[in-house]
Amino acid sequence: MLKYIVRRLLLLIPILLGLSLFLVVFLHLLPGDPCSANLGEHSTPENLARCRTGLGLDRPIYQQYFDYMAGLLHGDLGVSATNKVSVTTEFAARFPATFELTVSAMFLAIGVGIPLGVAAAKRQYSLFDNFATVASLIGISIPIFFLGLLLQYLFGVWLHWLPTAGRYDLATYSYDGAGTNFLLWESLVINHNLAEFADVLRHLILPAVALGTIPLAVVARITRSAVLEVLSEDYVRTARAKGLTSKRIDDRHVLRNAMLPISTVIGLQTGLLLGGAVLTEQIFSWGGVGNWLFQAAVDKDFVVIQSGALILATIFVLVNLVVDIGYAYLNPRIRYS
Amino acid sequence: MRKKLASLLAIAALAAAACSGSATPVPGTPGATTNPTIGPVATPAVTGTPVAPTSTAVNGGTWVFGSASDPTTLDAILMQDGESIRIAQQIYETLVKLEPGSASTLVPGLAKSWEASADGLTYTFHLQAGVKFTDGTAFNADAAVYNVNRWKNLPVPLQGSDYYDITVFGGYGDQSLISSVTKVDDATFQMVLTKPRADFLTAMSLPAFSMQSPAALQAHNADKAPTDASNDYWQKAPTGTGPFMFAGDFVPGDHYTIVKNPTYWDTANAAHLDKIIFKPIADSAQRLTALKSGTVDTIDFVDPNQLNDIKSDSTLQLVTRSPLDIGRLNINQSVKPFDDINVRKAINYAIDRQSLIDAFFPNGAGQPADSDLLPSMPAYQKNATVTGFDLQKAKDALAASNCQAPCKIDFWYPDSVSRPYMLDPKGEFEAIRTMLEAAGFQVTPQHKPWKGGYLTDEANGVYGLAFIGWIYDYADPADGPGIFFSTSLAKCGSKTPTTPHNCEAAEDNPAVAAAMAKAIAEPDEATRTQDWIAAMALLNADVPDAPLVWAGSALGMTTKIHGFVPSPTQTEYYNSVWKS
Amino acid sequence: MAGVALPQVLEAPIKGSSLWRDAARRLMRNPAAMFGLFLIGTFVFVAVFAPFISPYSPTEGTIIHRFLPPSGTHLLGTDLQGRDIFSRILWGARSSLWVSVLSVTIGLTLGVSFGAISGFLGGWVDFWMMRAVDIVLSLPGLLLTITIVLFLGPGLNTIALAIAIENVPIFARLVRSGILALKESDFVLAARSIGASQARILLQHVMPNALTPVIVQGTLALATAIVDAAGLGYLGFGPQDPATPEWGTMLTDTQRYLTSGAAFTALFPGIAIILAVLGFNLLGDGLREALDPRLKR
Repeated sequence: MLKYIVRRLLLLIPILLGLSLFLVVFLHLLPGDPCSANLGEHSTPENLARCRTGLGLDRPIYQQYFDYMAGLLHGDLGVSATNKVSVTTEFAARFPATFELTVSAMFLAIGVGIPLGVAAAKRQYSLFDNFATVASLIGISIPIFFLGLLLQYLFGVWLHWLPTAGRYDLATYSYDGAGTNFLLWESLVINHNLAEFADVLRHLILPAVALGTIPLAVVARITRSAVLEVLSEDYVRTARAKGLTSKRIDDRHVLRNAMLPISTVIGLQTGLLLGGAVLTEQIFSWGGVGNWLFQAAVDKDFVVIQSGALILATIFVLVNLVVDIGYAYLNPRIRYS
Repeated sequence: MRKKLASLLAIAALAAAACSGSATPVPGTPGATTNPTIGPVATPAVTGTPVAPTSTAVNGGTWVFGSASDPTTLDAILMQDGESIRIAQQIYETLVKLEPGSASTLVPGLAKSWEASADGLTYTFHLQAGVKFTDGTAFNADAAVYNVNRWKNLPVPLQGSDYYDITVFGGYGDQSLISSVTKVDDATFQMVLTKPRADFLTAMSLPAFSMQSPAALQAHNADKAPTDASNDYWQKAPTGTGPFMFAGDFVPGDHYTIVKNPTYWDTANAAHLDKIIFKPIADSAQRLTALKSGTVDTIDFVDPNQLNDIKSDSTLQLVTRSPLDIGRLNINQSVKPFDDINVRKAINYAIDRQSLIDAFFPNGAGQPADSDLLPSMPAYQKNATVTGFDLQKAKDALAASNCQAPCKIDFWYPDSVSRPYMLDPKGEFEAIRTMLEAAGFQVTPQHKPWKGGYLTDEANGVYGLAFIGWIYDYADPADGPGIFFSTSLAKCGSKTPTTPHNCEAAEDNPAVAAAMAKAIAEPDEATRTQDWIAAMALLNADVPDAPLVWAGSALGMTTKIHGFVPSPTQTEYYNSVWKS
Repeated sequence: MAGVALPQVLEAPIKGSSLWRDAARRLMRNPAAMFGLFLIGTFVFVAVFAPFISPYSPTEGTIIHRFLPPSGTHLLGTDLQGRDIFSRILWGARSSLWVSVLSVTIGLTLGVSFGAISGFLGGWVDFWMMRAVDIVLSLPGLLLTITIVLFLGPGLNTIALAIAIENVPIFARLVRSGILALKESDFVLAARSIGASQARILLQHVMPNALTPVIVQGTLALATAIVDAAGLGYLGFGPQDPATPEWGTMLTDTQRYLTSGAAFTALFPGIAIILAVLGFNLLGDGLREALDPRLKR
């Protein structure tokens, strides 16, 4: 198993090389460049030309690629053409926001989705099952920005219960810019400040609900179908026939066997959300990775897109490695060597 | 000191308006027509109706400001975007300043007075005494000369990110409008220009020409390429003399914080607030939501459709800025059939501007434009252009052209953008398309993302008919038609012209170019106004574009915020703001 | 190990016409699925016959008649450009159904083939194919979609293709993980032991069993394609001709004007989207239960 993990990690290198090459070529084929983005209506041909020279965009593509890769080898992920902040700095500032949002959303999706799916499966075609099915169907039928806006108006503007933008109350939070930006962890573990922890949690609720709704519905549906499948397998019938109680069957056999497809979906969804939830982060002004990379795509900020995508690819590969190891653990019939 | 009195009165007026629950702010001097004055300004215009103060400013507090995006640089000379300038205007100061609320009246800044030589080439600045940068170093003639030399000889790696410097001074080193800069004594220095430029002093009030600490610039490698990671000047240590300062709290995408400068030199104008936090919220509807839910205290660029949302909320107030921008359709005369003046006339006659305003700039947010100049400028002439809506005239003009109905045209609008003068490009496009088709055009819709090629193509004259606009930095035609109808030998798309050429609109009339050049250089204010009237008449006779709208903008804030003096330039000083 | 997880060898190889007849019968008895079928039927009908049933042209109007409230003349009122919203929703069914069906067809075809080949061949081929999938998946979904749209230019087909590419790796992984579990199972070993060819095993034995989760995911994908298209519209990417009616774009185009008494203009396209998506989900759910005999009562 260890050998397998090491090999997978080594394989990251060719993947990242291939991805970087693909990105550099693909991005330069797109119309526009960071210069037109920066100059706005003040773009004149002279200004544009000067800006392109300044950013080195007039070099041949292969040279830009080699210069960029040379920087990467020295651990230099580059600097944004738009705000001149280094990619490493900005990613370090923004990833914690996305991470906390993703974890909260997946916590919601798993914490509610799996029990919901199991309960629905065990009472197939009951009123509860039908209700849960319809609810999860509606959950994935609403466009996420529509849901986000709805939540904002309902709980923010109308009821004044929850904040609608940002990660904490800007006016009261004793925010230390030099900190880790993992605000939940920071406020609770380092500062021992329960009020701030609660404030951060309050800010997380609406975006996490908006972002978590679709994974929740997906997890609930997959759980229901996976559990139903396992329940219909012979060994469960056998176990029942042998007189095992319903509860013990659940714990020992059903859920463990059903976890295979469920973990696939959880792994996929987590990876997707970590890549940044563009719409949710936009709606809730969440200073995360999705917002950043979307803006970079709009601004044609090549370096940010390239390096950002490489970092996310690395994270994604790691998450998937964990999922694949999880497969092997959950299903001994699969063996990696 | 009368300047201070005037602004105090303005603040008091605003405070009074706010306290009485009225949503009427102090207007941003819509009629401000005074042009740059040589020498210390003796009689600054009063920017608001003087009202006896009913409450006094409270010191302290945190102001959470919902801005549109993060700053993109705070190395002042490299700034181009409004959100950077918004912050820079609080932490930096310029030699001369615009009167709060005015787009053209100059008042002393870091220079307490100045003189210009008779030939308009030599400017002598007398600096305020006892001014220190927030890093503790002194602001004196040496520091000023260092900054001016940096503008003149901008390091090569920085030149690519430069806009205002090159626009005002026209080049670097020997090419620069700045011939030389010399220290006279510790409190005096001189700038010598290569040729007169009438709006030079006004340009010196642009936040891009702020004075920055030479020590901080050097310590943080500000002269290295912006893409060099060792250049962390703006992220770590933007250092000026302003009433606020940066204290290290910047989380990209989340917030940017500035705090009160405790040792500000102009104690009478020191900041009331302890702290201002700028929270970037890109979408205007989201900003309003954040304001209404109490997440932020103030938002900028309220959508005109949502003005009534703020007016009807007793806890909120609306502060409006008068327009200093122009939304227009650029017409490129080098693209067929727009080379035919009758086609250009037909477009202008076909557009019902009032209907556009009613739909897209409601609640008084915009006015139908009949010129690229604004009515607040002395050179503005009413009905100087072909802009009256008349369907029959449009059809007649098209019939007289070499493009008979249905006249097929490509018509471009940008995606993924909303500008103050062009809030909903797609909606406006569809409305104008219907109007053009009624006049006999057959429109093929074309669109591209604003930053994804649209701006580049538009600037390079690729499009025949396209949405574009202009936000003036100050109320002067030189900073408008003087730029976008200027001609040069610079490369235009893939072609390099052999004679001076206007790339964007192919407005290549040499008489227009000569008239504009004369107006830009003319030092006498009255003569300059006449020059601009003449130049604009020549220009408008060519029907070079289709002006659409003059759009103002508005801020929404809670009634707890006082002392905000709006400016048509869309950049304000926040030292007068206080929170109750 | 295998003694515990003994699949139903006898009924597992899903094939033969009786299966489909059984499935159809089961489907008919599922009221939710029938309602979904009814919703989809309505939309397909509307999409096909829009030119004959819509009262007005979907593209003609004047800004002066903007945001007229619902009335006898305009059943659902008019939009910003003074166009009849009812007619635009009818015509918009074409765009939305086209985008969703096209994107899922492309995504399903590519994804299932990719995942099946990868999972079945196994070894290094599988490994590298899955890394290619990782590369595509590791690019943030919406960002990838936006970049593709930026690259290919605006338009409904472009949007469909972009959404499809986003879906390919998801299908591929699902099929592969299903196959991984199945191909070691007894009935495949049995088939292999009697000398069945690789292709035959893949097509006749493994694929049908691995497809169950794909049908679930396909259901979600059909529905989310419409939602994704609406999301692209929210970010400013819609049909090439802005006059082309498209529900997502209709919904987002009027966001700005909601407070100007135009709330209804966002409501109706929103309802249309939710109903269409719900229809696909209900039907797909029913199909899944109907197609999988092990789930029968």
